[in-house]
Amino acid sequence: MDTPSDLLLARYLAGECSSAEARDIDAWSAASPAHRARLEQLRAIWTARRPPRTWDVEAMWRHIRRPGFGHGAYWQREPRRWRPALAAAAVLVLLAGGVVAVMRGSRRAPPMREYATARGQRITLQLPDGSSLQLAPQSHVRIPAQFGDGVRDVYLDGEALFSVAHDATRPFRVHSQDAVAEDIGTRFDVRAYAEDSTVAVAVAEGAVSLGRLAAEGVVVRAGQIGTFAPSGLVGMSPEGALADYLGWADGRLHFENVPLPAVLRAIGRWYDLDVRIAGPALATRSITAEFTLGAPDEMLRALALAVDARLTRSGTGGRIITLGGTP
Amino acid sequence: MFAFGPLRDSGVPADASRHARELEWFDGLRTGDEPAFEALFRAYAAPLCDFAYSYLESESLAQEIVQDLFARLWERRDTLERPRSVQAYLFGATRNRALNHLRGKRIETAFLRRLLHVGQARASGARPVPPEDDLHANALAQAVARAVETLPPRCRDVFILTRDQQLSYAEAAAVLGIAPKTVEIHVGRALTLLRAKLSDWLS
Repeated sequence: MDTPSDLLLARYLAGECSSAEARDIDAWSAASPAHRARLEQLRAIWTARRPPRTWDVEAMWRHIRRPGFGHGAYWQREPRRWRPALAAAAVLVLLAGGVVAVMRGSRRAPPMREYATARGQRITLQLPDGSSLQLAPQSHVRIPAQFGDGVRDVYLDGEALFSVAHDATRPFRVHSQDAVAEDIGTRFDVRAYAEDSTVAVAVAEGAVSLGRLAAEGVVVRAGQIGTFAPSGLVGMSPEGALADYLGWADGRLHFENVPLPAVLRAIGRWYDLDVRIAGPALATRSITAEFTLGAPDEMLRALALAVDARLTRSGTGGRIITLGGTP
Repeated sequence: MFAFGPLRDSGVPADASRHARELEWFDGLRTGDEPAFEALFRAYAAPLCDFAYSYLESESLAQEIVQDLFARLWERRDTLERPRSVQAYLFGATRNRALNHLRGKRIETAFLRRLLHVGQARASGARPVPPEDDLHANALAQAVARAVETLPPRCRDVFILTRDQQLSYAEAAAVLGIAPKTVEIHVGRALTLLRAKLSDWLS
């Protein structure tokens, strides 16, 4: 026979040709090595299959026969009411949503004011010297009602972005955990959440000295991020991006190669959600993304897309969100 | 289905008894017979997951789609109509769901990127890779799989159904709602294209 067409050879390989056609092809193939090679090429393609996957059929069956199943496994978009503090990138001044307590000061120490934000809240505070600070969610700050003639001391647990009015005669000091960030006039973010165990200072403008109280600090300049560890060591983080620390004040959450668990912790703080990971494989993924602070649905769906995992909601009011996991 | 074994004249179903048995199960499903539903599920779960995987490249999504499909079948059993071929029905439904998901994902990604100035979140880190045993054979299999992805869509559908799922031409035609002759043309074309793409691998 003449060279069989690929269509005919395909039928041969798929077992779809008649016995007569098969005999002809066998004869043609045996007639020369070149013919045989042509057939074997196609046979190699036809039989080169990847190893079969194993599927957890039992788990699937259990899930199907569970009562109430079948209402759509994919994330369904529902209208949600979000805390008004975050509906727009609104900046609230002073007391709205915050907790204020005036502590009676001793003779020497000035009376302090305390401000605290819950998860999903943030506030902007004006300080007596003309400085201001934005307090991130789940944070707590103590500020003197009046600054004296010496140092200006504030005490932070959590995260805040400071814009410090310049005064060379009165250093401004932010105390958090064991670290002190000191400067004379600049703009910088201090991130000191207790669960992170390190204090990070990201400087937007000016320079900040970071170290233990009454010890020589390390200077962190504009564009740099300094990290203070419990041991007292201060390191510069070359891999951190400034926008990670400063973006939120402008209404942007920025993550530069941040491990997924940390991303979800941040989202949990910003929206008062409990976002969990199911499956250890997901915990090793890192995220690079920038989100506009708005309703979190889109943000969570973008994350789910990026890591190819499903989102499920549970708990009262659907506040528990789980990323990943087999059905 | 054999690559070089018993042959038959096209047009005659390879396994008429299997088709009949599946129709019985399907009838059972329609009347709420749980063991029949379970038998149907167990017969098709793995092949349908494999098939869905070829579109989605995600094991969890593939499982989810097949699960959804069977759960809905049970929910709507009172309204189901008897298909001509259970296999065609299930494969076709799976394919539709997979394609819908891909379409939705494309739309969603574009939507997120456009409307919210969300740079698409990029994830890095180890992606779980299935273990490979025989390196050389699997290297070719991987190359073939990658080349298959570049085939024209309909051609690819046909090739996956006939080669990977080992459906006959008639069965594949039933799944896709096209003529068996068209299936034949697509398989031939797939092999022609693949042979050209994989010329480095085959000498």
